[in-house]
Amino acid sequence: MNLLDKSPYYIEVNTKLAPFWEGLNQGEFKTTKCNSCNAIHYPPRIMCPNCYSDNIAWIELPGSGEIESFTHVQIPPPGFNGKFYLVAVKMDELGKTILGRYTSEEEPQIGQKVTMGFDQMGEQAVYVFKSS
Amino acid sequence: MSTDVAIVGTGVTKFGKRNDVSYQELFAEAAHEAISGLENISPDTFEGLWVSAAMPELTVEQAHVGNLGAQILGISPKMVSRVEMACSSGSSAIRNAWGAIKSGMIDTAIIVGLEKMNNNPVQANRGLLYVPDVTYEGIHGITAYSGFALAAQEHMEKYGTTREQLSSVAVKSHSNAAKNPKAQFHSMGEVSLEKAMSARMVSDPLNLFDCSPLTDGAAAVVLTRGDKAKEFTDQPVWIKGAGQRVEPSIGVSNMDSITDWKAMRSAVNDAFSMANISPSDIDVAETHDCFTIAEIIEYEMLGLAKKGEGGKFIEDGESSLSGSTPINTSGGLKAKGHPVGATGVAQIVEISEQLRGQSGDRQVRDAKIGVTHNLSGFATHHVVHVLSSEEELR
Repeated sequence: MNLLDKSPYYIEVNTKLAPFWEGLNQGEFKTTKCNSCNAIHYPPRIMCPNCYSDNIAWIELPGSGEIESFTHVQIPPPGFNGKFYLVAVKMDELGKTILGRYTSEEEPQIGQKVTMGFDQMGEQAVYVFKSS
Repeated sequence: MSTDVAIVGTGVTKFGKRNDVSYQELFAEAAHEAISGLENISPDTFEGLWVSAAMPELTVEQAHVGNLGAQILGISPKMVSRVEMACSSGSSAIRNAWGAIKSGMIDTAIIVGLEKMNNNPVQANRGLLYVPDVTYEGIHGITAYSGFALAAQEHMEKYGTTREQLSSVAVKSHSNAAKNPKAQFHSMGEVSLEKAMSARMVSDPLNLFDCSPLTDGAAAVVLTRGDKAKEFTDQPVWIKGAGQRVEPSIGVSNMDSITDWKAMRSAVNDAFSMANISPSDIDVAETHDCFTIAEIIEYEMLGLAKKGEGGKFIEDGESSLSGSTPINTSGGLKAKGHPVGATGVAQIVEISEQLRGQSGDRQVRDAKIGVTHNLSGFATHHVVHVLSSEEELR
């Protein structure tokens, strides 16, 4: 489905990785973990890119992390209204850096601790980051 | 049989808004310039054809452009493909042709890279939005400019890179473009530091003058097996080193760092080792300055500057035309323009012209060894070539 009318953000949610999208709709940040080698993945996978096993389990992550970088986007891409902050966050437990919008009032800072919130885009919720 | 591959023909069109030519005409312009100066050429010469094109489906409603290229050239090659690796499609196409010649499958190939973006800028911008992971990153509003803005912010915080240093890259690029009649912003002339620094903000800290434009343009290169080079020209340029590496990541989530590009370091190392050169041997280079911060990081990844000192490298004038290692003499993506599929091929054309002494007002004196670097995504994929005016470097 297209997340927003005429936007280029096309996602398929009713697939093997549906628990990821369902989790977001329920306010949870879930991803996959390999039962064979214990690697935690992001994005979630149906095949482990570390050992190529398909023995995969779902885990819920805390959704907290630290801002590594940020930018104030002044020209929004299609589907986004007005200026917004985008942050790169080094995630606790996951150990990887992921991107998301930052929706707290105050300006983000490198090194700032953040936690996930959830924001509706059409029929699908996506995670956003907030000051923790 | 020589195992080296030679560049024997090069062509590049005027970059900019090209409403005077269709997609097919743009292709033919570049191909004609690459072929027209060569001896002993016929349609049978070209055993391989690679067409580098990132988004013709979106901007000109045309797919299958490898086959389209064969029609325009009137050839029936035994290896043909369209290459799409977003902004690094061109260098990837060159690398495919290089590999095919090295393997002995073919002797001679033509590579044409092109993009027509200004007849449909809405669709062209949409094409650029398709480049990152649309499912897991695109939905958060990430774009090329905001991705590189994140790199810029982090580089400034970690290493003290300044607003002036970012804008100095743009000032240099425009200065070089003013000496390149084929550059998109040739007629704009020199741009002052003040003007570059005060431009409209796009994604903080990157402003409009930190960003490359939408461009129409094409470039073409003829490659052949080394021992056949003299059949076509008495001024071949030699590909002495080549490297390519992609991160196991289409976005930032599986990269180690957005300001230190492991894949580029590996590609540079492979290419420089193959050519047996060190960074101090580089006389001139074209690097992928899609955004000013990218060029600053590239100085570091190429080994021209220490980690974190890329800003100082531009500030000290080392990369200017009169500096120790002139970078982006063409005007770069910033000011020559960035027709996505053409860019990587056009970089090879610029360095080849420099090594043949054909660069006019922007000629680097005694240039013998040149490097090209082409990237795509958020610096997740890199291709590096080392070119030489001499068949034997030492």
